[in-house]
Amino acid sequence: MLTGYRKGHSCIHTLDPRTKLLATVGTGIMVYLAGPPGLGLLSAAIPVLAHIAGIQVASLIKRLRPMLIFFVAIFIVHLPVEGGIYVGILAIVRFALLILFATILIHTTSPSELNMALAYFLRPLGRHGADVAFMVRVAMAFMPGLLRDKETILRAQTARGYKPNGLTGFTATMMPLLRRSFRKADELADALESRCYHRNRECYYYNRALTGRDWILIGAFAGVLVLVLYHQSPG
Amino acid sequence: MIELEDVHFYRQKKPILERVDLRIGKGECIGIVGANGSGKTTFARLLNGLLLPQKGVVRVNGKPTSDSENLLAIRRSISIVFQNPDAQAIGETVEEDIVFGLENLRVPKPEIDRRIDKYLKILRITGLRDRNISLLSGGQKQLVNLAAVMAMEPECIVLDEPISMLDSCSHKHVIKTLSGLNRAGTSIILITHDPGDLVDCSRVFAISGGKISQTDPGTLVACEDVGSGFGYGFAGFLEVAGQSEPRSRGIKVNVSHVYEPGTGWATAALTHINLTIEKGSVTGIVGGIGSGKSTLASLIAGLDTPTAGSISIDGGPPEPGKNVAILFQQPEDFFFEKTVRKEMTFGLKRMDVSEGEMQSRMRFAMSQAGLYRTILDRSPFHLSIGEQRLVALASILAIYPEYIVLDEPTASLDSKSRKRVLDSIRGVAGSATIIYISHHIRDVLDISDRIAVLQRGNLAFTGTKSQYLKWVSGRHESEGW
Repeated sequence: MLTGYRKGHSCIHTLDPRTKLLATVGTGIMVYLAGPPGLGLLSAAIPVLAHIAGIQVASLIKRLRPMLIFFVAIFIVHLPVEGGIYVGILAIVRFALLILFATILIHTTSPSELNMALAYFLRPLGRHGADVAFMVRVAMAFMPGLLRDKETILRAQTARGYKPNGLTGFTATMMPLLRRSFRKADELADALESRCYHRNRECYYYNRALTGRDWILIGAFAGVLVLVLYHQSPG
Repeated sequence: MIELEDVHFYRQKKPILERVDLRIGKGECIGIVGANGSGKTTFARLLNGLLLPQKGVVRVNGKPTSDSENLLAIRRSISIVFQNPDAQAIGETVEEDIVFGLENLRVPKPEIDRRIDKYLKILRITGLRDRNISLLSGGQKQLVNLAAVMAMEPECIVLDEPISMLDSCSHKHVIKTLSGLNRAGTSIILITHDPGDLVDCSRVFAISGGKISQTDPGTLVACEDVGSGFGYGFAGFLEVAGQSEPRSRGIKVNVSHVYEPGTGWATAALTHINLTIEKGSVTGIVGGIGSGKSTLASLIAGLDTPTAGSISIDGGPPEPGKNVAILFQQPEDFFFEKTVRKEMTFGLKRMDVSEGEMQSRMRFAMSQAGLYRTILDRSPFHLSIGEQRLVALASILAIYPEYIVLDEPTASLDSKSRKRVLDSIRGVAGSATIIYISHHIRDVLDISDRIAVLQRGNLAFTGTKSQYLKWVSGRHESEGW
C-alpha cells in the first residue's frame, strides 16, 4: 500500500524539497512537450527513480487504478479528432506520467517539507502564499486517512453482506465516508487550534540551505528544459 | 487559573451545560466523569475557547475566552488531547506531528530536538519517531497525540478520554506519567469513564443533565463495574475456568502478515501465528498496543489476505458476510440508512432472503442484542451510543454468521452502556463462535472460554482461562512484581 510519505534515506529523500518541487514541475513541462521518444525516455525514468526511492513499481502502478475512469474519458474525448486513437493514447500516457512523478515526489517529501518549499516559492504572495502552502500540507495530511477510512468502511459493509453494486451500494460507502470526513475535518480544525496554529507561523525545523548537489540537479534540469523548449519552438 | 462563571451552553436549544460555576487552581488535578453524551467534551472545548458559552464567561489566567485576542495565549496555557486519535495527526510522521505545535510556539530548533527525545522517551515510544502515524495502531496514535501535547509544555493539559485504546500496561504508565507532570506543577483535567484513573485527582466532578457537581471518586470506584490490568481480581475467574469442551470444527489460523512487504518500510504485523479456535467457543484475544490484534481480526474475517500461510473456517476459506462477520471498532460510524429497520436489513437484502425470513431474522437479532422493537422505525443517528453499538451488533447477527469477530466492542462506552453490550454478547455466545478482541482484560476473562495473547505480532500464549492466569502469575513472579 502506498498512501503517502515514508521517511527514508535515499538520495531522492535527502534532496532539498525545493529542488524536488522544481524538478517535478520541470518534468511536468517536459511530459507536456515531449513526443513519443521523449515520453518513452520519461517512462523509463519511472522505475529507475522508484528503485532509488525504495518504492515498489507495482504499488506505484496501483495508484493509477482509481484514475481509470479519467483515462477512459480522456481517450473518448480524443476519438473524434484526426488520428484520435494515437492522440488519445499519448494523452493518457502524459496524464499517467504526471501522476507517477507527483507520486514519487509525495512519497519522498514530507508534508512539512513540501509546506516549506511551497511557502518559499509563494513568498511573493505574502501571507496568502503561506496560507496556500499550509492548506496543501493539511490536505496531504488528511488524504491518507480519507483513503484508509474508505477502505475500512468498504470492509465493514462487506462484513455485513454489502455487494458493491447500484445506488444503495454507493450510498453504503459514500454516506458514512462523507459523515466521517466532515466530522474529522472539524476535529482536525480543533486539534490545529488547540496546538496554537496561527497564520504567522513559520516552518523552520526542516529548513536547510541548498547544497551543491541541489544546484547541480537544478542546473541540469534547467539545461534539459531549455533544450526541449528550443526543439519545440517553431522554425 | 481557570474560572467558569454561570456558564450555559445549548445545542439546538437543548441545554448541554447550565449554570456551571467552577474554579480550577494552578497545579490542580481534576477528574471529570459522566455518561456518554453528558457534555464532558463540550466542557473541555469551552476551556480553551474552541467553544464559547452562550451565557456566562470562561476566564483563563484572568483572560476571557470570548475575546479572540486572548485565544492564542489561552491555548498556550491549556492544551487538549482529544478522544479520536485519527483526527489529530497534523504531521505525516510522529516527529513531524510533534514539531508542528512547537513551531507554532516558535521553540528554537535544538529545544525542539530535546523535547521530542524527552517526551517520546517518557511515553516509551522512541522507536516510533520516524513511523507514519496512519500506519500505527489506535493505542500508539493516542500516545503520539499525548506526546505532541506534552511537548508543548502547557500550564494545563485537558485529556478528553485520550487513553481508551491503551492496553492496561500503557494505560497505567500514562496515568503515572500524568501524575508526575502534575507533581511538577502542570494542571491536569482528566475526562474518563474509568474511575480507576482518578486516584490522583484532588477533586472529581460529575456531569449529568447539564449540571456539574463535585463527587466522591471513592464511591465511583466502588459502584462501577470497571478495572483492568494484570493481577486484578483473578480469584473470581478461576472457578469458571476450564468449562469449554473440545470440538472438532472451528477456525485454524496459521499465518504471518507483513505490511508493505518488499519495501524498506516493511513492518511485520504477525509472525508465525498458529492458533485453533474451537467451534462454539468464545476466544478472547488480548495484547498490548500495536501487538497485531486488529490485523488478526481482519485476517480471520477474510477481509485481508495474509502474506504467508492461511486461515480456514470449518475447512474452507473465510467468507465475510457469510460464514464470518466482524464488528469493527466504533461500528456506528458505518450507519447510513434512515431507520434502524433498514440498517438491520441492509445485509439481508443482498442475500436473497424472503420477506418472512428477513422479519424472523430481525426479531432473532434484536432479541439476542437485547433491543426493543420500538426502536425499529427510529433513526439510528438519534439513538444513544450504547444502543447504536447494539444495533450494529444486531445487524451482524441478522446475517446468521457462524463466527463473529468483535474488535473492541465496548471502546468509548460508559459503564452502563458497556455492561449492556457485554450482556448481549454473553447472550449471543450460545449461538455463534465468538472471537473477542479487547485490551480490557477483565471483560475478556469474564466472557471468554479460551484466551490468546499477542505480543509484538507473536503468539505469546494460548490456553484456557486458568492456564492464562497461571501464566500471568508466573510472569509476574519471574519479573519480580
